[in-house]
Amino acid sequence: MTDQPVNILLVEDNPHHAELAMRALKMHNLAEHFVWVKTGEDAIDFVFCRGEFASRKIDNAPKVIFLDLKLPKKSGLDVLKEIRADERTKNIPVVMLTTSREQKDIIEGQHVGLNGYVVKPDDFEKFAEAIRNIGYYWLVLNQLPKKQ
Amino acid sequence: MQAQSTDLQTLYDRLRESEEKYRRFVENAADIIYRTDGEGRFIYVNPVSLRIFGYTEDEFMGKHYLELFHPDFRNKARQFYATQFFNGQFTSYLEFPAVNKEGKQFWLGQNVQPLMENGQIIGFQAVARDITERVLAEEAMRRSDEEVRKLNAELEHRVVERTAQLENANKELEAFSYSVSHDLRAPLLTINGFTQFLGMHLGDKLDEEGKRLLSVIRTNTQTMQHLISALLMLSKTNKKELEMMQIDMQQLAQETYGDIISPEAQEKIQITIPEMPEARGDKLLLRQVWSNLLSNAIKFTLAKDERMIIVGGRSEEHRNVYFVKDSGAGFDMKDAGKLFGVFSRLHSDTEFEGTGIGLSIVRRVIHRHQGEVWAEGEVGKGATFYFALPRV
Repeated sequence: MTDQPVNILLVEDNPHHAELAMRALKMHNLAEHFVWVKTGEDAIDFVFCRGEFASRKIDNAPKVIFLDLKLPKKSGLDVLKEIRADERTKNIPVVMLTTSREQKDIIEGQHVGLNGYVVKPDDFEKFAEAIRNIGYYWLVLNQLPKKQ
Repeated sequence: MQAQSTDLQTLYDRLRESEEKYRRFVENAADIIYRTDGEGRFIYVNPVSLRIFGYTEDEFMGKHYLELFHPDFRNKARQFYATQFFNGQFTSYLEFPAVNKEGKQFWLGQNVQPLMENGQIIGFQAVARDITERVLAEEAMRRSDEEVRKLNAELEHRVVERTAQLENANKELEAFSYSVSHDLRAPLLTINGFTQFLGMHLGDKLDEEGKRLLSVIRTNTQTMQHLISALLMLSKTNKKELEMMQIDMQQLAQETYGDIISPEAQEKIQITIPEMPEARGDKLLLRQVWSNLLSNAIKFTLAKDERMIIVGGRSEEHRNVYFVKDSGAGFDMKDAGKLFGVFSRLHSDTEFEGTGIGLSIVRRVIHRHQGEVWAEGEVGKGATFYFALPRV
């Protein structure tokens, strides 16, 4: 894999939900430089440039990570903790995708520094709107702190 | 001399008479009466003793009193009497298991007195009575008391065990319904999204029938969404810890009505929400109660020409009663018991939409507040839903 700039890293084990997210981003012209991985392990490899993603540079961090909470084996929360524990990656914005508000409470209870969350609504239009708002905020409006 | 001899004769006669009386008394007594010598060997037993122990008088004479005791009790009896006489006690009472000639065991209660002469014990006399019935009754009582205690302890243990099992089962059920509800949402989002993509993908190629088919899928997806949300709400109703506070029920009912009524429906419905007694309860959950009752009232009233909803409340001795009365479709009172069950519906989807969970949420919330719910209605003439909360 070449070291292309990455805007959004989507970590989602459900391919249909991944497609929904991708279509929602496309609908709002936010899908450029979009990468999708299916597992927490792949997400860590991607962020820390290991394994399949060893040719990447760690400085070329995604502008935002959309991270599903409920992933097999390594959960979204585990991925988030590892990203936050490393000086080089701790500032990457992470938005958690959850299926309920209760799950959001659980994540917040962990104090692992989440930048946002999307409760996946049952309705696609609402989901697309949430994805658009979050994507727009982190890709267009947000300015990351300048690197020292 | 003659006179002296007559006096002696009289004295003798009296003595004989007195002895005779005493003998008859002893021999006809219902109790065991016996005498022993200073060593405790029998020198006299009354007929009752013979009958009860089954020995002949000859067999009795010379026997040691301890031989009448059950072998296991002899040492104890010996110690008891030794202590008694050593301490100079004149009489004693002892209950003991005795054995008759045939080896049959029975219980005696026995009074013993030492017979003294010149400061020396020359023998003992005893009166004993068969107390087997009483002892056995006491033993049975003790045993049954013990059994009752044991049964009680066992029952208590079982109640604790069952309660724990029930609590576990409830928790598991809650976790199950919660996780099912959440996991059901994931495919629902997919169905919903892909139906929309299909519509967009086919665009103009979609004919009327195609549009209808997609619309059926979408409508059913929505129904499923409502069901899942309602199930989640029901599960939350059970889990949420009650945060009790004073609540202005008029204000709460008004606010809730304002939140749920659509502008179009608002124009069609006439509603009265007067002042009501304050309630003590969990505001979030009681808002849900008002919301479910008022939505029902709106739903059933909109279908009628006369559209009126009356909300109210009154104070009774120990409780406050609140109600929502509508002029809607009503129900048959014979179905009143079914109203508050989960998934129980009295109207079909084509008549009125609904999940059949709303009223069970109402009941669950009110029961958690130690209150009651009930309803009155008549087909075509509207319904009134009541809930009562304890006055605190």
